[in-house]
Amino acid sequence: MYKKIVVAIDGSDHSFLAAEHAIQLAKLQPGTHVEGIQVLDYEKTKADVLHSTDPIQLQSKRDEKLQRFRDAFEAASIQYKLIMKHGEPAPMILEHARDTRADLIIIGSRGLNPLQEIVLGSVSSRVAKRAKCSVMIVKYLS
Amino acid sequence: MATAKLNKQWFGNIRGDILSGIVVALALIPEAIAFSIIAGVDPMVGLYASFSMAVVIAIVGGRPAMISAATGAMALLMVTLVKDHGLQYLFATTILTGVLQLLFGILGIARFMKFIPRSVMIGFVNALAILIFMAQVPHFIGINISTYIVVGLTLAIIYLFPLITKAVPAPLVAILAVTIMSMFLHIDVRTVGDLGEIQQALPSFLIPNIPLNLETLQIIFPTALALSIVGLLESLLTASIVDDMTDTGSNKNKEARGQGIANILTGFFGGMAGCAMIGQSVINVKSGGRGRLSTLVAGIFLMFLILVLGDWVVKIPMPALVGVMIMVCIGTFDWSSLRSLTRVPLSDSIVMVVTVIAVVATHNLSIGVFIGILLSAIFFVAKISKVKVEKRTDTTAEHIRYTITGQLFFASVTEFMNSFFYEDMAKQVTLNFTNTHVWDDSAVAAIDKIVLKFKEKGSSVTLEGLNKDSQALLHKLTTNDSTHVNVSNH
Repeated sequence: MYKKIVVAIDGSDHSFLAAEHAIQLAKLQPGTHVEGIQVLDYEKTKADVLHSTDPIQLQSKRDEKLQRFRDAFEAASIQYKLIMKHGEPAPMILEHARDTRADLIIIGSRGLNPLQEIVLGSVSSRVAKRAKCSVMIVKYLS
Repeated sequence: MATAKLNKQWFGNIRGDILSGIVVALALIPEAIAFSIIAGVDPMVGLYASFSMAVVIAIVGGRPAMISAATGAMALLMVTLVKDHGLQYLFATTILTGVLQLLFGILGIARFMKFIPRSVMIGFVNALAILIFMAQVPHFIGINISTYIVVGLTLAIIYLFPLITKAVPAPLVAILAVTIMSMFLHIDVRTVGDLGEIQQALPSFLIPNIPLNLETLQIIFPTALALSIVGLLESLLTASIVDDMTDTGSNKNKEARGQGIANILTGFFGGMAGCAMIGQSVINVKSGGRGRLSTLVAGIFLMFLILVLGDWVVKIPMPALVGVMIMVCIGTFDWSSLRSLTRVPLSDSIVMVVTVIAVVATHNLSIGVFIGILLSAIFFVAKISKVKVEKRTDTTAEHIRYTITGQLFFASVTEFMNSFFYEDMAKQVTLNFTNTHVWDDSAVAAIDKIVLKFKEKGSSVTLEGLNKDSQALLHKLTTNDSTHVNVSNH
C-alpha cells in the first residue's frame, strides 16, 4: 500500500516503536522502502561536541544509538536507509519526506503534557499538521 | 580550485547568509553592550570590537559562518587591567593578544587542543556561565523592587517571544520593549548611562597612547597571554560546534591566525579583545548562515545599527541587560553535565568541578583551565601507573617466571619493584615483558636493580618479550652490561 515510508528516529523507545510499525507495514508489500531519519537538534550540538573527544568519536557515539534500529531493519530484511541530518526536527522530517516523495511518515509521540507541549513544541503534531502525505502517530503506552 | 572553494565560501548561500547576518547583528547588540559593562568600558568599545572582529574574521577566519565579537569570557579577563590602567592599556593588550594568537596559529596550536580533556572544557563553559552571572549580581540584587520586576519582565519576553515569532531575536525585542516602557512610565531603574565607572569617551582610532617600554609590557603581557589562550579555546570549541552543525570541516590553525589578525586590527580600531561566540554562531547557523558572507553582513549591519541607535544605548535600563546576561548564562551552562556528573568516571567529575571552583575563586578562566589540565594529567598518570606482576614457578622450583602487565615509568616503578621477592632460590628467573612497555630511565633503573638482586642470589636472569622501543631504551640506558643479562625475544 505504501511505497516509501519515512520514519522519524531519535534513539528513544518511542521512536523504536515507530520503527517497528514501519517494519510491519513494509513487510506487507515487497518493494516498500523505509527511510529512518534522525534529526540532530542544533540546540543539542554544543553539549554533544563538549562531551566527546573528537568528531570521529562523536560520530560513532551517534551511530551506536541507531544500532538497534539497524538490527531491526536487517532482521526484517526490508529495503531501508538510515539518514542523519542537522536541523530543527519537524521541518527537517517534512523536508526529507517531500524530497524523497514519501507516501507515509511514521513518528512516535513523546507523550508530553499540555505545558511541555507549549514550551517544547510537539514534533509529531507539527509534522501531522503540515505534512502533504499521510502521517501515522504512534502512541507509546507504558 | 582554491578560487572555486573561496567563491563557494563567500557566495554559495547569498540569500541565507544575508538574512542570518542581519539576525545575528540584531542579537549581538545587547550582548556587546552588556559585555562592555562587565569589562568596565564604554558600550561603544564592545560594539566597535564586535563590528571589527566580525568583519575581519569573515575575511581571514578558518571557519565560515562562525561569529566572532566581544565576548563575556574575554571581558571577564580584562576587568582588573581596565580598572587599574585604563582604556589605552586595554587597546595595547588587545593588540598583543592578537600578536600572540597569530603566533600560536603559525606554530599550529590546533594540534595541542586534543590535550585539553573534555571535562576541562565542560568546566570552562560552566565557570564562564557562573562568572557572567556573578558579574550581574551588583546590578540587580538589593537595588529596588522595580529592578527585579524589569529583570523578570525582560526574561519573560526573551523566553516567551519566540512562541510568537523566531524571525527577530527575542533579546533585542526585550531590550527595546523594556527601554521604551521605562522611559514612558519613568520607572526607577538605573540605565547604562548612569554607571559611573563607565568611561564616556569615544574610542580612538589610533595607536594606543601608552609608553612603549618594559614596564608597559609587564602590565599587559599576563592579561594578553590569558586572553589569547581563552580566546583560542572558545574559538576552536565554537569552530568544532559549527563544524558539527553544518557537517563540514574547518582549518583550526587558520582560524587561530585569523583570530590573531582580527584582534590586532580591533585593538587599533579602539575595540576590546574578542573571540568566537558559541551562542551567536548557533543563531547564525540556525538562521540559515553557512558562508563567510553571513559573518561580514553581521559586522556591517551592526555598524549601521550602531550609527542609528547610538544615542539610545545610554537609555537602556541596566536590569534589561541583566536579563539578557542571565539568558546568556543559561545558554552557556552545560546542563547535561549535571546529569552526567554521576555517570562519568569520578575523576572526570572531579576535574570538571575543580576547574569551575578554580575559575570562580580566581576570576580567571585561564588559571582554571590550567589547573584542570594539570589535575587530569595527574589522574591519568595515577590511572595508568598500575602494574601487575604475576609469578609462576615450575614443578622443580628451579625456574621462576614473572609476567609483568601495565606501563613501566616513573610513577609505577615503586609498585613494580615491591612485587618481587628474592628469597626463593631459583636457578633461572625469567621476566616476561610482553604485556608492558618500558617508558623511561626510572623504569630501566628499576629493571636493573631487580636483575642485580636476583644475580646476587645466584639466579641467572632472562628478559623476554620486550617490544622494540623498550629494548632500544634498555640498551641505551642500562648500566649493568657487566652482569650479562640475557635479553631474548619470544
